[in-house]
Amino acid sequence: MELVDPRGREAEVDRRLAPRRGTKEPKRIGFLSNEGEHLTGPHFPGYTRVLEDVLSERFAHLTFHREIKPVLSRPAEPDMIAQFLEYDGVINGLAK
Amino acid sequence: MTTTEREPLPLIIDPGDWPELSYKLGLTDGLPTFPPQREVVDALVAGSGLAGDESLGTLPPSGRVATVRDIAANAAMAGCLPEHMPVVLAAFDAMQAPRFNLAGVVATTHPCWPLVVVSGSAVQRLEMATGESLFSGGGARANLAIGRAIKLAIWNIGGGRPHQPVQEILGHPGRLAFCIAEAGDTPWQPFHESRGVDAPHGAVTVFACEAPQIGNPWGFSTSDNPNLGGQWLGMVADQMSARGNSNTHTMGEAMVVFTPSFARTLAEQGWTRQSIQEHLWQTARRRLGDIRLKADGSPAVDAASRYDWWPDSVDQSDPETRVPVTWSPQDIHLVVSGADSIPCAAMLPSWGHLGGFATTRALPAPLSSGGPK
Repeated sequence: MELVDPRGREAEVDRRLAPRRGTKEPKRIGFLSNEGEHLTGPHFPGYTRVLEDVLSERFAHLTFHREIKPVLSRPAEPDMIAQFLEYDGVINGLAK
Repeated sequence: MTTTEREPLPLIIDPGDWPELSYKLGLTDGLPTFPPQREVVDALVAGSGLAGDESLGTLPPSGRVATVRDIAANAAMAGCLPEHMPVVLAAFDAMQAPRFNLAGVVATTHPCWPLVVVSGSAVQRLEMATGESLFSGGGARANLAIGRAIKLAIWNIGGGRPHQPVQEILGHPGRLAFCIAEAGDTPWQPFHESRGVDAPHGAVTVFACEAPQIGNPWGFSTSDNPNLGGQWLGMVADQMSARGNSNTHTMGEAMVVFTPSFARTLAEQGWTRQSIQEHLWQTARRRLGDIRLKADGSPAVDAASRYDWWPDSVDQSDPETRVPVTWSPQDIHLVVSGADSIPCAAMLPSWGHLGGFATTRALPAPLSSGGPK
């Protein structure tokens, strides 16, 4: 009996890593939060503010940018992702 | 096994080896399947009216590419017939709409899954069940095979498997197969027409929702009761606005399935599809002070407690605000089906505002009538 593999195939997409900055000192950090702030319990925007304070103390020259996805269940919109291409590092997360 | 760690599938096997091979390679969620035999898959591709190598885009969460042949292979495993293929493909086309957010539907912690609703002339043509045991296939091959094909394709191509990456907490029995058909003898226009879709050959609507929660009309006076329809709708509204479901807290869309006798009674008492939607939208509401609570049990109505996903029309500062469970009356989807015996209704809460919104596609003309048009 001859079979057909039901698993489809890998998409031919360019999945290269973003360009590395080498030894260049990072200047701009982006925070991308999957969700907004909660009344109760942890939330990632609050965590990013803590991170920003810690990083600022250690690296005074850093600047920060913060975005919250409009809908947590969807990938970030392309224009939002494009903004982060300008940054030297991006931290994305969801607090639980 | 993740989708990126794939053991090759031997392309020639002894038929008796398929069951264990399918489990060994993780090609099924646990239920037995038919082998995706070349001849069967070819027949299913032919039944689609499309070329086998035509791409249907990528399926989440894996992002692997699905062709018509790939979908047909999963449909073969599900037991589909060639005439089922246009329904399966139309369902996938609808689920690929960005508003459906299939990636989220598949991987969410919430127990929702795409319900496939077939309506119009295709229901009779495909011999779909619309009577007893509606949500468990009704004894018809088409209902379960179509639902199963969708599950298996998302499993095998999309890689939608528990834990990695599917985070669904409690699960949903409909994730095995979730397909119903609308009865042909509804007192109102067919479901797809109510959604503005002209479909002479029938239509497919996908809607991500929870398992049906049944409303049995206990405690009503049924003899000479001109208010019976409205009283039944009050029962429906109660269940639609239960605390804890996503609609009550985030709105979005919801579905209600009426049995034919339930719908006939409503229609005989003057209810139309539109008046029911409006009535349910006005009555399926929950007091804000019951929805959001502070630690001491008092209403959480301060600015910090605001839900930014609710429209501005909801006064979030007043605990007495009655909050609707859908964005609008039109977001309450009404379908007529099930056994034509005891009047019943089924409420199907959704994933709220996060996705899985009802999306409808017209079916092409059947190949027997000259092929897709």
